[in-house]
Amino acid sequence: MKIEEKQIEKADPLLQEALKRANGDEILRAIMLLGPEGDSEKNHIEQEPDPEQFADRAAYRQALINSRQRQISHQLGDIMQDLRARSLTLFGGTISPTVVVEGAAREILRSLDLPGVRHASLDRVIQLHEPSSPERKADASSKRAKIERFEQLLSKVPDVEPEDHDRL
Amino acid sequence: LEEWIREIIMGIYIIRPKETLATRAVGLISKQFAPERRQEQIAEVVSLRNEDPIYDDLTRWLAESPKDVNPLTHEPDTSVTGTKVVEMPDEEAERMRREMPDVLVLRDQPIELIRPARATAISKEKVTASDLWHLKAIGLEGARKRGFKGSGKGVTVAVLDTGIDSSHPELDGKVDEAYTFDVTKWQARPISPSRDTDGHGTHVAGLICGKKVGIAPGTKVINAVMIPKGRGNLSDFILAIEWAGRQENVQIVNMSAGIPGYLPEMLTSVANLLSVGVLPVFATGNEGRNKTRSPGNYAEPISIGATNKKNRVASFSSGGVIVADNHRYEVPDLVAPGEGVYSSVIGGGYEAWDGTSMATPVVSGVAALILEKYPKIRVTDLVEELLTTCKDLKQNTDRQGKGLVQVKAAA
Repeated sequence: MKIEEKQIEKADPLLQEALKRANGDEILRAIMLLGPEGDSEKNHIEQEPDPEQFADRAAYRQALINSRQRQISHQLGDIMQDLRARSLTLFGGTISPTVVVEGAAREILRSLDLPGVRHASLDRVIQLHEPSSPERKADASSKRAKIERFEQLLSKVPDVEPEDHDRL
Repeated sequence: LEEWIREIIMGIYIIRPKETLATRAVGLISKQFAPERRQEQIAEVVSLRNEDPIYDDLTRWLAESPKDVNPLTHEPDTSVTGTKVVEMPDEEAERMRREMPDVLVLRDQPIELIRPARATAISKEKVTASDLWHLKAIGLEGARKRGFKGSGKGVTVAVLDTGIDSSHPELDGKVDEAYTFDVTKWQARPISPSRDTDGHGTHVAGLICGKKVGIAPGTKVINAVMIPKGRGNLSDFILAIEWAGRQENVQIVNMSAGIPGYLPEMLTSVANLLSVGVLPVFATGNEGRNKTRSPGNYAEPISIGATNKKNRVASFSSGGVIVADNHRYEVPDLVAPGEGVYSSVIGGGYEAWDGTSMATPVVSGVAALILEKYPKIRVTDLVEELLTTCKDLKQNTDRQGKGLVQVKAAA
């Protein structure tokens, strides 16, 4: 697909590449940072609760969570609605303006035109920091390599319909 | 299926004459260890090989072989060793062995590190006082001798890791809940019993709240399997952080995973953890100087480096200067014991592991002790308490941050 200059500015290089190569209907998963316009009244921040006012830490934390959820819903409700209207599935965005968005590449590309979409990245792998002990490192990598190899081979075996006598 | 069958019947083979003129005549070649002589030495080896009849036969055999014998290397790639790497069916390799007895035909295989002897020496059924050097380094042993009774009671740490083996005696009764994450349904699914997919999370949890090895034995942990078998996705991280942030009983999030370099994608999620009163404690990575990983290299969480028994920053501990959004700062924020640290391992027993992953739960444990003493402080004040009570190790700030974490604020 063709990406416009303004869309490129909002997408990380991996997402740019994925959008360029994708056909419009291909399903992609992206991480989007949402935010209201700079001078929006929606940027108003609620006063933070004082921990001393609560019986225990759990009650204090619940008040913080509620406050945050109200703010996010107020700030980003319309933007999220716009994204859903484009048949995109949204995950997250309850206490943080970062959402996981899944849907057709064409719609993800179009959503980059929305002013409320600040930045978007392609979903990618996150890994454990391997302990640096040589023995542990070798053990972990060899174990993982074996599992990955096995999974790769399994994925290449075609699905075979069971014979009638195999059915339960 | 075709590709699968091909992988099974085709093999990669390492091929070279068992003995070459070059190895037989090795004494004739200059062995002077001088860079300026290197090209001359290579030319001597190549020249000797070109006169070698076995090598000549091998080259001819490969040239006349059937189509499915496919050399993967070319002469300039292996000019020093003269080794050829060839993909071919196993029966062709057998034929080569029969027809060319002077040629070594070796099927390629995985190469593994030679395990040092200490791999077995460091596995133990029981730990002794001297194994628990990490408790002494952070001032906990001394504080306990002086009557400190803090245990982190009433505090819950979410461990975003590979899982936790709750059957380990160190962790008996310590794992409150356990979850796996499904991004496609945006769900945290409870699992029972709590288990570990790799072993890493069990070692980490032991250091937070283990009966003997733990910093805060009264603290509870939640097993959040965010990186099953050591691998997850950015979306798993976003889900796990959102989930942890919404659990009112969670006060600290402990994590030792990341993506190399500085990637801003996870920044707002981490910042929002702080805004809902959760302290993120993240490892910086195990790649040494000037190499860090996100999210451990963000300014928002407490970023952790590792020290050794001599109270020096471990060479593998990641750190450096980060420039992002017109800000310049250094990571880690502080360091904690992380080299040769004993903790619980999957299935029982103890092992000493190295890594900033081991230092991170030590800091989470100290933070739990502080929270037990001051349950009503703001998370920003908790950060201050951790940073202002460190012991200065007199090393550069891009290695040690504020210094070695201490229990002073809690004791």
